[in-house]
Amino acid sequence: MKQIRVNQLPTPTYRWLGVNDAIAELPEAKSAEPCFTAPDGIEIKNCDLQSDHILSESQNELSSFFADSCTFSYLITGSSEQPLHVQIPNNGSNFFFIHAKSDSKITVIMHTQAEHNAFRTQIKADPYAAIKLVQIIRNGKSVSDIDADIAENAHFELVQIFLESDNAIAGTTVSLKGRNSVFTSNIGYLLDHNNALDINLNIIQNGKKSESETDVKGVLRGSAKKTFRGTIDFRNGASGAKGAEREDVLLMNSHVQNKTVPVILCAEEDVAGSHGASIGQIDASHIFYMQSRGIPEDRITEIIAQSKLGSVIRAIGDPETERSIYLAIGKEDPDE
Amino acid sequence: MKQKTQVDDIDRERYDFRFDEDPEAMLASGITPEIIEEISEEKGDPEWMRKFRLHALEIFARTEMPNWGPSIAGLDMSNIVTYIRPKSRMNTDWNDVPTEIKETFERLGIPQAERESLAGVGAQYDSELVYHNVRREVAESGVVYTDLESAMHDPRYAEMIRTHFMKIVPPTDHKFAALHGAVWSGGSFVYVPAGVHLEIPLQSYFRLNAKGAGQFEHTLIIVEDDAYLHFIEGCSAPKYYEAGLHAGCVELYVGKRATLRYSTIENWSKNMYNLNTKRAIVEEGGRIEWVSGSFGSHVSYLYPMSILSGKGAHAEFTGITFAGAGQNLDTGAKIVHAAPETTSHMDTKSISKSGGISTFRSAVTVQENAINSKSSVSCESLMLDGLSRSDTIPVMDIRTDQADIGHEAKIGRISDDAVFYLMSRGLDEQRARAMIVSGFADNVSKELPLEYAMEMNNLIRLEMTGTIG
Repeated sequence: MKQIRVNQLPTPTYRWLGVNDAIAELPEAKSAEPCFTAPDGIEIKNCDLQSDHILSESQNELSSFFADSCTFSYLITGSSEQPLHVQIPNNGSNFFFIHAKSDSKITVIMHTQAEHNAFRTQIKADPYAAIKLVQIIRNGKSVSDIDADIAENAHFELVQIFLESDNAIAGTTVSLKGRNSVFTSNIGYLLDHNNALDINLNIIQNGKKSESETDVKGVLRGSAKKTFRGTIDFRNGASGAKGAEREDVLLMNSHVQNKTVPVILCAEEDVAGSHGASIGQIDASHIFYMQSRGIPEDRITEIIAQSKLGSVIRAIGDPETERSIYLAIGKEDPDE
Repeated sequence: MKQKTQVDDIDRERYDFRFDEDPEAMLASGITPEIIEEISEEKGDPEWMRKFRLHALEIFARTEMPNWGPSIAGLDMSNIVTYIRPKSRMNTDWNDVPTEIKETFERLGIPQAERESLAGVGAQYDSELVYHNVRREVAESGVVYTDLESAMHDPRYAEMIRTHFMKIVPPTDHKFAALHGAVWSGGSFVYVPAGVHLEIPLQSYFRLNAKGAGQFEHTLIIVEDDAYLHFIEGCSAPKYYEAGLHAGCVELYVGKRATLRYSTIENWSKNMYNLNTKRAIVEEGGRIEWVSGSFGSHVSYLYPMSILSGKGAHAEFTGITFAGAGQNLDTGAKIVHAAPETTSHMDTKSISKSGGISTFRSAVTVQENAINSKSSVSCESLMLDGLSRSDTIPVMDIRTDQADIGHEAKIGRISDDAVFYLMSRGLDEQRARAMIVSGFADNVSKELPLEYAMEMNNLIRLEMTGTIG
C-alpha cells in the first residue's frame, strides 16, 4: 500500500498542531470500472490522460499517482438537467474529467461505499457553464481529489457528504480564474466510533468579482477525529472578489477530536473575505424545549444531529439520493 | 479621477536617533561555547546557570529553524554580537546614568513617564540594565522589581529564580528559545506578594543601540494569589543596515484569582528580526490580559501563549499590527485550555500598506479535561493598497464535547458606506477616512493607560488625502 503526503495547508503553521498535511494510504491499482447511469445529453468516453492532454497544470504527488495508476479514465461532457450517477468501485483508482462547454450544464452524483478506493475528479467549466458535483462517501477508506478550473461567468457547485467513513481524505482545489466565476460548496459529515476525516479545501480567487461561499456542517460522535482546512486565497488582481466560509460542528462525545483551520490569504485590496467557525455541544435550551414536547433525550440528540446535516442533504437536489442519505443517518421518515 | 488613499508609514524620527557606540565590553560575534563561557563569566553566573547556558547551546545547535512563517534567511547568526555591556552599571537615580544613555531614555520619554504615571521603571541599554527604580511605597508593600541578575544573586530570591527560570518556555521549545537560554542577559524580575494590588503600572524599556547586535533580555514575573499587576514593556532601536536580532523571553506566573495585565508597544527599527517568546501560566480563577501593539521590526514572530492550568482561569489577547514597507510581521496568540471552565478571548486588528505583510496566526487548543470551557476569536484586517498582503491562519484543536468555541474573521478595505455615512454627518472625506482608520486601532488604545494610548496614536500618524480607488 502506497502512502503519500497530501492535503498540504497552502501556508504551513506551527508544527506541533499537526495540521500542515495528512498522510493518505492509496489502494493498489486494480482494474475496477465504475458504474454509470447517464441521462440523455451526457456523453462518457474513455480517455488517455497523457495523449489527450487533460491533466491540469497544478501537478502534485497525488495527481501524479492518479496519472500513473488509473487504469480507467473518463471524459464526461454534454449537457443535461438530469444528474449522471457514478458508482465508484471498490479497491480502484479512477480518474474523471468533467468538461462543461460554454452554456452547458452537467450534474454528477458520485457514490462510494467501498472498502478502499481513490479517485480524482478534474473539473473544467468553460464560460457560462455550470457544473454540480455531489460526492457521497460512506464507510471504508477513501481518497477523493478534486481540481477545478472555472472560467468567466461559470459556476461550480460542490456537495460532499461523509458518513461514518473509516478514514476519508478529501482534497479540493478550485481556481476561480474567470471574471464573475462562482464556487459554492456544502460539505457535511457525520462521524462515529474511530472514524477519521481530513478535508483540505483550497479556493484560489484570481478572477475579478469572483465569488465563493462555503458552508460546512458536521457531527462528531464516539472517538471520531476530523480536520477541516479551508483556505480562501485572494490573488492580486481579483478586485471586487468576495469569499465567505463557515464551519459549524456539533460535538457529541468527550472523546472526539476536532481541528478547524479557516485560512484567508489576501494579496488584493478590493476584496471582502470572511470566515467563521462555531464548535460546541448541543444547546441545553434546545434539549429543554424538545423534552417539554415529550421527546426523550436520546431521540432529541438524534434529531439534532440529523437536522445539522439537513441543509447539506437538501443541497443535493436529487430526491432519491437525499432519501437514501436520510435513511442512512437514521431518520425515521425521510419524506417528512 | 479616483485617487488612492495615502496612509503614511509610522513616523520613526523619535526612535531612529542614535549615539556612537562606546561600550565598555563587547564580545565577538557568533555563538560558540567559548562565547557562552565568556558571557557567563561577565555576569558572574552561579554554576547551575553556566551549565544551563551550555546545555541550551547544545539544544540550539541541534534544533532546526522553523519551516513556517516569514523568511529569516537574512539573519546571519555568525554576525550577531550577543553581549555588549554599556559604560554604566545599574543605577537607581537618573543623574547617575551616563549622559548619552540618559539622553536616549529622556528622548523616549521614560523618566517623564516614571514621574507622572508609573510605580517603577527599568531601562535596559544593549545587554545590561542601566536603571532600575521602584517607588518607596510600592517596595514597602513587598513588591520586588529588580533586574534578573541581581535577583539571581540575592539569597532571598535565588531559589525562586532557579525554580521558575525557563520552566514554561524550556530551551527545547524552539531554536530561538534555546538561543535565548544560552545567551540571555538583562531583563526584569517582578514579584507581587499575595493580595497586593498595584494600582499603577511598572514599566521596562529595552533599547538596542549597537548595530549588528542582539538583545536577549529575560522577564520573569510572579504574581501571587489574589494580587494585581499591570506591567508595560516598550522597546525600540535606531535603524542600521545590518540585521539586528531580538530574542527575548517573557515568563509570567499568575496565581489563584490574581490578574496580570501585560502591555507591549513594540517599535523596533526595520532592520530587526523580532523572534520573541512570551508565555503565561494561569492558576485557578486567575486572569492574564495581553495588550499588544506591533509596529516595528523587519520580521516578527510574536505569539504570546497563555496556558490556563487552573479551573476558571481566563486569558485575553488584544492586539494590533501595522505592517508597512519592508516589513513582514507574523503575530497572533496561542491559548491552551488545560482545566475545566476556562475562558479566553482574542480580539486582533491588522493594517497592511506599501507592500507590508501582516499575518495573524493563532492556536486555540482545548484539552480533554477542559470541560465547559469557552473561547472566542475575532480578527479583522484592513488592506490599504494592492501592493500589500494580509493573511489569517488560525487553528482550533478541540478535544472535548463540552466546550463552546467561536471564531470570526474579516478582511477588506475601508468601507465606502462608512465614509459616506460620516460625510453625511458633515465630515470631509479626508477626515472621515482618517477617523475610520484611527478607530480601527481603538481595540488596543482603549486598553492602554491614557499616556500610552496617546503614544500609540502618535505612532500611527495617519495622513489621509483624496478618495479611495
